[in-house]
Amino acid sequence: MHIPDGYLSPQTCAVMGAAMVPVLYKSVKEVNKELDKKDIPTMAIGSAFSFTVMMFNVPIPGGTTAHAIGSTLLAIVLGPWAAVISVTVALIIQALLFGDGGVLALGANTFNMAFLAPFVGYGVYKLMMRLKLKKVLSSAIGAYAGINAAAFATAVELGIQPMLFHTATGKALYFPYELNISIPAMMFAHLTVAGFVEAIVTALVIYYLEKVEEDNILYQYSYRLRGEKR
Amino acid sequence: MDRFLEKTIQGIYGIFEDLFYSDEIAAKKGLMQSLDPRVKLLSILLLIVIANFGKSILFLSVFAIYTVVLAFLSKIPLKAYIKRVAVISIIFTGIILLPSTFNFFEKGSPLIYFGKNLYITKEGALASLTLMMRSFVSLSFVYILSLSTKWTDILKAFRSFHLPQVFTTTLEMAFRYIFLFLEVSLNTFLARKSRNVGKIKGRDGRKFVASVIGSILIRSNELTEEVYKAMVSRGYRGEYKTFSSFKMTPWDYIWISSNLIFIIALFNAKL
Repeated sequence: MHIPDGYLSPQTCAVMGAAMVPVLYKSVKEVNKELDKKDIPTMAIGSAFSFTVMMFNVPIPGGTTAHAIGSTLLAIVLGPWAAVISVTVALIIQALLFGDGGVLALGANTFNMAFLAPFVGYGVYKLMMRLKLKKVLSSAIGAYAGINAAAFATAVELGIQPMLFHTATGKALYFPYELNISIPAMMFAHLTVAGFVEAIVTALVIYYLEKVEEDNILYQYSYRLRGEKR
Repeated sequence: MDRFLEKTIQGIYGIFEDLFYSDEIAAKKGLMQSLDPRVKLLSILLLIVIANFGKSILFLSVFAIYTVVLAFLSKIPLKAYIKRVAVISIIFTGIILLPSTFNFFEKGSPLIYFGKNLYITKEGALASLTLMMRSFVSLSFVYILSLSTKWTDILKAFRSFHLPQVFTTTLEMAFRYIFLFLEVSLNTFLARKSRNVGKIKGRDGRKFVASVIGSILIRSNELTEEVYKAMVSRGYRGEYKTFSSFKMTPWDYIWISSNLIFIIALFNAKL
């Protein structure tokens, strides 16, 4: 889902980057309010966590492996605003130091994976919780919705390129496939495989966090992650 | 089914390798290494923007040659560099673009025939080549930047853009903890692998990955508290002052002016 440079026109990148500015501004403010002075270490360590999770290969049926993004997971355990910053910082490090995802496309990539994915995922999760579904199941549905929302946005950003940016003769200058190809291609992969990977991993982690027993040394540290107040 | 263990272990080793490799090259005496990281970061970003506005093959070819020369003058091993950049920009992009070059996607004058009614069009091939070149140039610049600069310096250079400090400090701190978490994960995956008998079922594999994520999450939460307390005990009160020791040298001015000349000449040539 990381869009490399060269696929999107610089104009699109500028618009997506501009869209992320108020989002980041708001999330820095929200995180400051919620976590008072602990903001920096919390967000730094959240970002490192996000980066690490994206490194893990998850076995999928058929003998191959896939990656999870963990946006919804972070939104559930840290809150959606902190998730925005964590995933954004992880994506910046990936783009600048490892060349995963474009530098110009960072605006688009962060919008999809660091803003849409955690917020849609978190929103759906909260909705499911309100419908009295179990936490583990709600998190799975949320994660599935979150990653598919991000995939859909990616497909739209790519698919509008040939309509907006072409030569006088109508030849595409950037990504050549229109929406009628980009959306089915992206959504097929995410609705069938990547969405379930994300859902299963998120649900299993939530399940694991709920199951950490009282005699476990980690128990005292996980109360906040389980949603308990102390 | 236990390929996921090896893939993750190799992936993490790959990151450590990249870090080591870039530290080694950043320590060499080359063109890019002699520049101030702030100047380097900003100029590389601007060069990527300009390259992405490029629409013609010729314009992008000039940029492609420029990146290779830059890599050469910065003492970056050319073979490894081209291989690394080409995997994404040529091979990955090429596979995605291949269908768009055929006549069933868009009509055009035939270039290579596969059958009577199936051929690659000249226009399609040209458009794909442009995109591949653009992707190659952009990725090259990023790669040259990340190899010729110490990674901590790249992140430090962000401060000079006057972004909110919350953001830049988070970036710098995150970088340190990434390596801690990667090491913890590496050890966990290695421990699991060394205790492995037979094949791991997909189900168990997914459970294992999720439990690693869960345990790292709990540890990170614990670490946050500790780091925060450690910072407070050293006088942290919610504000952060940072020192940067970057200094502009004559090389930076030479670099900036020669790049300006290059860009202006490129636009005047109307490629």
